[in-house]
Amino acid sequence: MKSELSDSAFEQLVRRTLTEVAASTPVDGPRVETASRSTLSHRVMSVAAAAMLLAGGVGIAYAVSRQTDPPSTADEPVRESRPALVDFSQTLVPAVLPDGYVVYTGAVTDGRVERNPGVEWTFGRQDEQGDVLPAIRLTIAPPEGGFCPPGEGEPIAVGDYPATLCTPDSNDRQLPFSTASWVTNGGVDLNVVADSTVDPSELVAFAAALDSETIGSAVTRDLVYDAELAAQQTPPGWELLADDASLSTYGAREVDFIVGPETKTDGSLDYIQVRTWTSAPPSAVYAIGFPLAATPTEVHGQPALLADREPDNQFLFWVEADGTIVSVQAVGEPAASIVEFAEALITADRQSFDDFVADAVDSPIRLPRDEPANTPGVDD
Amino acid sequence: MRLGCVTISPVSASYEFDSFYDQHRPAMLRLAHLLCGSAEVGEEVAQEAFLVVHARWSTLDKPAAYLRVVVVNKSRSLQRRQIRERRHLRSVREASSAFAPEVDETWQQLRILSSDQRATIVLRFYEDLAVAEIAEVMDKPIGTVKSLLHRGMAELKASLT
Repeated sequence: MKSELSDSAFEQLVRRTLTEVAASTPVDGPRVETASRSTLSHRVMSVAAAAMLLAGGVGIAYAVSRQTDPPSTADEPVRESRPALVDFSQTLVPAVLPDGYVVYTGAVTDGRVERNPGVEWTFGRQDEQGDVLPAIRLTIAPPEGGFCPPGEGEPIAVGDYPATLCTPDSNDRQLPFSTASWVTNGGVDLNVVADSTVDPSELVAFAAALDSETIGSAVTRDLVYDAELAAQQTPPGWELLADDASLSTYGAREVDFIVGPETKTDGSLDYIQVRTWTSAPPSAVYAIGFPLAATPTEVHGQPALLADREPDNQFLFWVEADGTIVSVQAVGEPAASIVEFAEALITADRQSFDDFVADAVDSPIRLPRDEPANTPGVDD
Repeated sequence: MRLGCVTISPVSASYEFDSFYDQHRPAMLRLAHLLCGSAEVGEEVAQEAFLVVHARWSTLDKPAAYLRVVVVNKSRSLQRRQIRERRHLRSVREASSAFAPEVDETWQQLRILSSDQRATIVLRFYEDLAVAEIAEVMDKPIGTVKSLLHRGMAELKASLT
């Protein structure tokens, strides 16, 4: 019956509902004694202690940032209501640097990663336990010229578009992902990439449900968010989980360092960068934007992915532990193989990390001034 | 401590926060109730938001605006982390016998919308914010807010059969 209401009548019903429900909110009941600053401080510390327990409790340093208001939620952890945590119990440094290598720089950053221009959206659906897990990523103009290498995959149709489908069985690399790639009439590459929980037929159905031309035309006009309207035309059950590649929106914090040869003989830029994100929920993996056309390998006994199609730009990625994501990028001709370098990384506490970067060539180290060393605190 | 252009003592600051708390608590409890779909959960969210504001009190020029953003963000975050609760909400109706049937039905369906859809509807039709203001509070592009609002209202209307 309500569905037959006019739009204005329906809006009135919604307003009336919200007003009446709000008016029913008990506001005179027993209240927590927040009026006392000391009591509040005690409660804040209780919240901090609870957060420590939830996060593992050991070696957590809270990044304390001064914030003006209203908050810029684009790069503040308050967006996810999570404290900004740097879990140094999970941060990695090299046990020994390769011969002739020095530390260029090291930093605790805000957790943001470079955002690809255009679409980088992650979708998920409920599993049997009711959790919404990320499973499909939609992207444009992928690096490396496409997820599906030339000569691999099978021709299919995504709606009216000729497309290429790559599955673990249809390519030589046995990629742990399925991908479907097609080009809009406007010449925009669109790619959907799914993990192993998504059947290739489901992936194709997902792709076909998208309004490709709207997405493509919006991208070329740099109106990517208008394209989200089209992206929400997904099959039933799918939800948009992330619309950018910012790990900070997940509450994750990043520690990174760069090492390289002390003496450059030919002017080329060789370096190895290690980035560790801590306090990252599983869904944050999908915000990294790691190369998906990669070969499986192993680091520290964990499954890892190695993108080594370009010999002078290798990328290694793995989940070190629950909440900890690590990437290693080797540019140029590094002195050590990227996998060997990764295997030699060891866990560092805050002091070890500070010692490691103390003599960095490119100072200053960008550690926040008010971040307490090895001292739990609270930011949220 | 800085409040606007006035420098005040810690004692005065404590008094200021107490007044702020008393002034805004009822409104935040109501807003959090609507955003969370539960008065009990909403009270916890509002309380946590006041704790956040208190912790940053000395740095806030517009604490009321900041408080609303924190309430909205905490409510949305809570919903994202507790997808199971949405399932639960589908089967458990909040005690609302005092409402007229159409209001009760509308509220029950509002409660099981996605957190972002519900937040845009609450901010638009309860807080009377413009779309641009909602976008600022939720840190989302205006187009996304329009989409969430349109889609949320469409789903809500379709569910009220």
